[in-house]
Amino acid sequence: MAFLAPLFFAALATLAIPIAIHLTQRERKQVVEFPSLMFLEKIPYQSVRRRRIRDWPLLAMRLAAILLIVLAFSRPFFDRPLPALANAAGPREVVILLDRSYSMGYGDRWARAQAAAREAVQGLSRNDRATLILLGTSAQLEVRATADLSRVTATIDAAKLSAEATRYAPGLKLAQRVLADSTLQNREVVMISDFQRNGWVRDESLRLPSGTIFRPIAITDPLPANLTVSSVLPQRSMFSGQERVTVAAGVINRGPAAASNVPVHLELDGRSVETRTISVKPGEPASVTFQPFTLARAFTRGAVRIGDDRLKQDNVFYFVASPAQRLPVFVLDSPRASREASLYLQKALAIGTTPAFRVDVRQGESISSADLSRHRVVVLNDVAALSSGDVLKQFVSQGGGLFVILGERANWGTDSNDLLPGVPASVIDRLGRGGSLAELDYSHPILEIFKAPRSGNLSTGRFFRYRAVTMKTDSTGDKTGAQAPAGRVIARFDDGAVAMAERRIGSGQVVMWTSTLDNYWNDLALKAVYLPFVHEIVRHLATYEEQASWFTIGDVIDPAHLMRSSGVGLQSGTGAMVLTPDGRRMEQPGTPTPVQLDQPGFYEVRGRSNQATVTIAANLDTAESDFAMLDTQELSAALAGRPGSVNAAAADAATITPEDQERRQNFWWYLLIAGLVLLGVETAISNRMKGPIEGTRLTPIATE
Amino acid sequence: METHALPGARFVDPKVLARIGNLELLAKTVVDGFINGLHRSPYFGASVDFAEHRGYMPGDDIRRVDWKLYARTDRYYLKEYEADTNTNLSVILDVSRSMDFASRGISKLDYGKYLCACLAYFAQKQRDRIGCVTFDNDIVAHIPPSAKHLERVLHTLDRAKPARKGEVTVPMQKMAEHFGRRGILVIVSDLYENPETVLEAVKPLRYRGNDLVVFHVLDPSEIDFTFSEAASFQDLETGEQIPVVPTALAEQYRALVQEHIGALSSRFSANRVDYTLVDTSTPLDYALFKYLSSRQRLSRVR
Repeated sequence: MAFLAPLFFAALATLAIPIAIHLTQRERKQVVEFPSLMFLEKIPYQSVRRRRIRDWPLLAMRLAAILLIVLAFSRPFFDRPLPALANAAGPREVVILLDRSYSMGYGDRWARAQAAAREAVQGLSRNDRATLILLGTSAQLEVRATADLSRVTATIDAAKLSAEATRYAPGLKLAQRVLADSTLQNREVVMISDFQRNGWVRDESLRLPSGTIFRPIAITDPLPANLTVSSVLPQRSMFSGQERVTVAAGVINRGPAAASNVPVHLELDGRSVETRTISVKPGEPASVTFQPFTLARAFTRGAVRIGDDRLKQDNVFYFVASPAQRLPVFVLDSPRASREASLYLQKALAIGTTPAFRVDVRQGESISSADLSRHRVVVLNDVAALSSGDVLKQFVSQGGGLFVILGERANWGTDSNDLLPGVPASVIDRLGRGGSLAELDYSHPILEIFKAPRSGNLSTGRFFRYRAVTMKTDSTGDKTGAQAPAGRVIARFDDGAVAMAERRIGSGQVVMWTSTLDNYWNDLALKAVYLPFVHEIVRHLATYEEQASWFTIGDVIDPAHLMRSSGVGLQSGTGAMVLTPDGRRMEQPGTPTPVQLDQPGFYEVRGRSNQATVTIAANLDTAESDFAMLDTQELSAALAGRPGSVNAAAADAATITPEDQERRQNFWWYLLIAGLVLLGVETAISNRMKGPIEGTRLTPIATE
Repeated sequence: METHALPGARFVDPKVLARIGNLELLAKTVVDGFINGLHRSPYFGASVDFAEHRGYMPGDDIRRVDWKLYARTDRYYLKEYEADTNTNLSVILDVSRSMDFASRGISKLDYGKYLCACLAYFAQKQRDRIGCVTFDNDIVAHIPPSAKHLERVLHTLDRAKPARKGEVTVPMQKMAEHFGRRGILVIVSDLYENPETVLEAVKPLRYRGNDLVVFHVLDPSEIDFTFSEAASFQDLETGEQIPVVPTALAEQYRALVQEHIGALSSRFSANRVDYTLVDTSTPLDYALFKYLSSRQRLSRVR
């Protein structure tokens, strides 16, 4: 047993107090008034007798209470391993959970964790079976239920730190499954980790099998210091016709001491362009803003680096910046329409910033393949069916977007009708106040932003005329010959007529609007909701996604989608290639499959048939930088396993600080309670033994 | 109610009587429940109760000559009668600080007050004259005997407070000068003096022809010394303290007390002083009973 505050033993000198009180205080306090000392004075007095200690049990209780309280304040704990208990009960099924999240890279934690794991394996007998699970964002079952302990040790030696964050639940669920499948009666889970609070989310379904011993082995350091680049925010601005980016980086000091004048570097394409210094108070965030720079080319690789501490992984934050792209939109007006037919539409699209739109307007009755190839969305603004319907259909099926506005001149023939989700019919006039949009499918991406209250009311527009549409049905292809709607109705008017519907063709979409987008058939163009409404339709049809400056480790990317949303075409069936930060090539022939990011740095995604490349940045989960610890007792209680066996204490003692050991054992609390209880009992007993005292007079024992 | 089983009487515990609070009522309660006392006057004289004949002496009043007896015997004899005149009863109460000791609810002083009050009330009923003296190391209050002094006596007793150290010699000498007429003197004290000193102090009273009755009042714990805790014992009169371990001293203390009581008893008896030891748990009417018994016994041997 050791003590955290042995200086408190000086307080043991107070043990002399009750003894002195016993010897002296009792007689000093009690003065008995007696009529005359005439006879007492005649009796020879033996002064030695009064120093006799009476009431030994009371004195012993007082001394014991003081001793316990002093012991409690000296904060005792056991710092040496105790004999194992579990081995005596027979063969065990032991699951070792080894945390390899990047926070274990702090100092020599990983080496200590591996040593603790090896020690746990060495503690097993020949009849025991071991399972090794490596913990990260996901859990990896490396070795399952084997008696070949050398294999387990070799796997531990070969294990490497990952860039993932800590998540305990997947590993514990794996352990739960392994233990549940085991035929052995004695089951143990040994979890070796830094037990970050961020890694644990209580899961009621997660329960270790009954009787399982849970042994947490905490790999920690006293007062760990860590500076983290938590985020980077590239802000765009225009200057002299050029797009400039100002980078602001957030820094968090996770340590107990203030960090002063720490250098923060901004790197662009591997070259350091600026260094600033920053001071951060303990436990607080701070930010640093760099000078703006001009974006010369797409996919500029940037990084913000800070200082040098014992956890290097989170000292750098990667990002990618590209010049903003304008979304090309082609608007085809009817040749018989006025030049202002698409005025409201053009004005609305001219205002956009994220994304900005490039609108090309032409009047005509046909559209060329060249027009289509340069644009991502085509708007047919009140035009009749085109002769180039097949070209349009191919454009849509390859991912293009088609927006069809059914106005007065929109007489579609049956040849091109298979583009639309419904068959346009006659024009309906709504007299009086007109109709309004009533039934809106807010789950659709176009209307989703209007879902929340006071976020745009589409029903304010009055519709005086619109074209009736009969929704088409397609065969489902099963044997029953059942029919399914060819498209999805997004909005209806208050009389139930279709206002907007969508049909998916190949990789693209067609959206049909049964009224006009000018102010002839309705006054929607005059309402505030018009602008976001049009923007959302075009963004949806273009499958536009704002280019992320970075991703987080563990995110999954779809190379095809990434290239398409970046405006880089990927020819169908040609496949893609992903180049990881450590230079590994991941060839993906045919249709590309999603890739999970597992390394910090820059990933390159390129088509196999061309040299167009998309670069993305991957960063660590910065929540992992927070070393705040989870109470292992809380975790143990949540798993409903028995508290850790004494072997766990031995392993802990080798790896954790005395403060942590003492905090986990908490003996002082029990000692303090025992001392106080003892004092209370002693008080009660002594009060009872004193008997009644009236004033200063002592009552003798009654003789009656 | 706590009682003592004596034949023919049920006695009231002094602790219960202490609740009455009014000395007259207390005395009435005790005495009315008691038999009418038959104490005799210490004087011989004119009365209806014949006592004896004696021979004529020159100077005797010839009116007291029994002429019938002269006719039969031809000798002059005088008839003597028990005097039916009321006697003087003076209660002498020690009010020194040592009397202010109580271990079971009633102090020796209170007990002494009750006892004196009962005797005074009882004597009043017998049409005796009643007086009272309180003393410590001097005379504190003095009420001369009178048939009308019951109220004053009770009042004096009631207001008596322990204030000073006690001592018997000086006050007894002064009292001997005051009591010119013979009577009954009842001394109530704890008698913390050497027995010889006490006897020497009361002798002058006895020599004046008074009948002396001494009630030695002690607390039960003074006799039995049943203390258990080691403590400092403080003299109530002098304030002196000495440490005492009762368990070690009790036996010797009890022996000394008994020796003291025995010495007092034997010396008083030798000098025809009626001595009665009472402790504060003894019922008052029991004390009265003892007193009357001894008075009758004394009258027979006179």
